[in-house]
Amino acid sequence: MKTLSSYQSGLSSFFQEIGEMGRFTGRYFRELFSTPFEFREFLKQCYQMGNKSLLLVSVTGFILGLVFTLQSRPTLMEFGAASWMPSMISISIVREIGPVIIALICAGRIGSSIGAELGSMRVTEQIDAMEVSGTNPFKFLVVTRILSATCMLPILVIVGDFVALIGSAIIENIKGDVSFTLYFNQVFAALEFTDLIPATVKTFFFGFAIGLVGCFKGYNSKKGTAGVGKASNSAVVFTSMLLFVLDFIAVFITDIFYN
Amino acid sequence: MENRAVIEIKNLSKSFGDVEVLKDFNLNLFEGENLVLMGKSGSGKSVMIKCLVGLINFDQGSIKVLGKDISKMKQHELDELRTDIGFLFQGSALYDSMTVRENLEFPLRRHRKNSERKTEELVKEALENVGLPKTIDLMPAELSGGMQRRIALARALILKPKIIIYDEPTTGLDPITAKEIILLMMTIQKKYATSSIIITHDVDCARVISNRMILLLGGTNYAEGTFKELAASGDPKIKAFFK
Repeated sequence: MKTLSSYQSGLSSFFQEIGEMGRFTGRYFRELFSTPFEFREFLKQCYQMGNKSLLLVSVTGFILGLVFTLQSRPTLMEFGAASWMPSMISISIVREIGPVIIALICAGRIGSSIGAELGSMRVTEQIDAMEVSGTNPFKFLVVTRILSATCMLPILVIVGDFVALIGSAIIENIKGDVSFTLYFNQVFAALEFTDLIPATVKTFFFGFAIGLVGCFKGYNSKKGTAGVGKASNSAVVFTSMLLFVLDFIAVFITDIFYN
Repeated sequence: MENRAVIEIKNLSKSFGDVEVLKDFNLNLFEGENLVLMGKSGSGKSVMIKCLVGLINFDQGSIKVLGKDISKMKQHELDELRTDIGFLFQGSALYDSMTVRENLEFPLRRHRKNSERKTEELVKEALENVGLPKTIDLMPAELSGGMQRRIALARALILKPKIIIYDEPTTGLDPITAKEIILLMMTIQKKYATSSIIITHDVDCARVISNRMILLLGGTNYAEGTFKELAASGDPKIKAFFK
């Protein structure tokens, strides 16, 4: 049975980690705006994160669109509101489901890969080797990865949303004889900038969180190869929780501004 | 061998919590000298070299490298100084997401403003020096342990450093490959007139390569002299290293 002191020490180490992450974030912003900028590595990371996640995001988005439409259709039919399907699907996907699901997928794909890569570089002294060669490893490894994740996630979410709408349109075309032109006309009629802008802005924060947590866990990885696995795993778990917290904050702020 | 000291360490102390790893440790490395550092595992050798290159901050004492006090240096000055120090890590520490060529180009692109052609020439020259010119487009995972150690040495040498630090260069290698690495280190020392600190447990390596040796026990200098002097010592603690 856990004693009160073990809960206290757990809580204390949690807040200590939050504090360390705060310092890590501060260092990121300081290094981001200091020269030189590792542009080649930034482009390489954009390719790794963006291009190599595209298939996964597209497949996930497509299935999301299919399933969401299939599940919602009977209920809307029951209320005689099947014609609302494109509007309902597009608003749900663009505002909420698309960004959150794609961000969670990317937390698994990108966050764990950053955590494992940097963790293994730490335990095999590659980060020390970089520092000893007179290169700032934080700038080369951390700044480029966080910035790439921040820039790539909004693009991946936009692609994922679009593919999800195509999936939904296919189901509507098969089940409800709705043409693609009519479906997308209704989608664009339903969507407003007030749906698109906050949803896109929050994905920058999601991308930042994925990059930041992955880099923090990997860069500070300890205790040999077991530490690499732990870094990778905790990067995904912590990022997933953080994404929901950020989503709640984003929805709350959007609600204040637009309603 | 009494040339100018390129590294001067005075009264170096470092603790981790309550554990005192280095206590008043002193070391001088002279120009063109191969200094071997031996000691039991956990005696503070690796901590000392990490303090030397600024990877770990020390608690007390002073470290001067090429006449410059590293504790008073700004980060960019320390980075500049590090280009004069080559470091061969025990596990080679090659960047495993980069090819051999990219590993060697990495320090060059950051510290030398060379043309693409000159960079290519320097990479090829470094690989020729270690006898592995055909590995240029391979990934580190495709190389054997001995080959990785040679490529790491080529990377450490590519900026033509004045000082090279070898952290257990022959550990984990078979005796034949270990001999090849030792010969390579000697060839490089002659060719580039570098000064070296070699941390090793390998008595053969120490015998062949050292001009002078320091034995480190309990984080402090226990004995100092040439290989012959220390090997002939009657002190059981020193004798234990040469069995």
